[in-house]
Amino acid sequence: MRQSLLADPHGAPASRAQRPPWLRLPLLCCQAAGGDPGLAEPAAAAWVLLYAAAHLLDSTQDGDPPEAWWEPLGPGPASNVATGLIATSALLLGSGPRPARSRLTQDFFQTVLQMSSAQHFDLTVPTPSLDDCWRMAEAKSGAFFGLACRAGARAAGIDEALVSHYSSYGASLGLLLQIGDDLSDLAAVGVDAAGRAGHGRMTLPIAYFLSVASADAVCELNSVGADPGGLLRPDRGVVEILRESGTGLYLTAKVHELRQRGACALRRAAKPSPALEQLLEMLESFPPAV
Amino acid sequence: MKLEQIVHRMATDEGFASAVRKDLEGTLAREGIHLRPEEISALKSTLSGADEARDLISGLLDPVIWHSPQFDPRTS
Repeated sequence: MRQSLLADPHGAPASRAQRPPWLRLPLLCCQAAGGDPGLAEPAAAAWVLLYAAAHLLDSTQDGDPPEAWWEPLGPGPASNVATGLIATSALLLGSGPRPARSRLTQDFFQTVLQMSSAQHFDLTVPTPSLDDCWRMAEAKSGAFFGLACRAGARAAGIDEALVSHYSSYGASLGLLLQIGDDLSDLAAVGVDAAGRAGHGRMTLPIAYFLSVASADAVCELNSVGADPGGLLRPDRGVVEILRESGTGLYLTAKVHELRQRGACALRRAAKPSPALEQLLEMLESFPPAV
Repeated sequence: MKLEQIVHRMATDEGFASAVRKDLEGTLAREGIHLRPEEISALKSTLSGADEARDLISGLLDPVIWHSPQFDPRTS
């Protein structure tokens, strides 16, 4: 959850053009499921507020450099803003029509609990394995984007068996976004003024490397600027070592696997429509370079 | 053997990588390697664009690292 929805990097409110396309996931899934996208608007608004809260909490908990709008406030008040966003999301969910609202609210906050549990693991386990990293990604980004699609499809009033396919599609998309975030993190660490990584979270590329590399290769990576905790300085040597170990091949294979899984799930549930096409295109758009 | 181990072997063992490129399923069968069907399909797609896959890491990092005004490699 690396993209702020509250402001651009300079602190100005995010413009319409800067808003990521996946913000429309609940509406598009509702439409692809044959419903009026307006039916999914309360769920979509609540989901976007939760995203903004999760992003903010993630940033403060990871010790990321603050965004311009909350830099003068500090992490304490920023966390309080996140609490307000979560409460507003709950109020929005509670204002919807019965009986759907109780199920929607339960689904939202069960997902938040699942994400919190994975975040706790992420924050407290210093060197998670590659399998751990995938499990955390599934329980955080996967679960959260699965929720967006499930909530949107459910608003169209379709059968629960079909809703589960939208959920699988969203989970695949969430993992693709996670791969993109982790690759961006590789590029971003080491850029801060103190010469230290912005956060200590293990990323998928480094977790892959540590799971397959020999002890000598790990020493070599450390010697050019990285450590087993996933902190990495940008360096051509690091890039070469990661590439020679097959990191690019591995992540590309995972990207293809997730795209296939997501498209397959969606085609099982949705009839041909412009909304379906947009959802399929989104799978191909993330991460941007593959 | 898991996907990550197979990919790593492909990256570090030219003979294995060449055999996989010629006959992915046959090579995996001869080596007694079992992958899920979706993993085999993903590997096939990856191999069809293998150069792009190899460049994935540097391709993403280069524009940010080497052309960022915030990062000057001469002082790192």
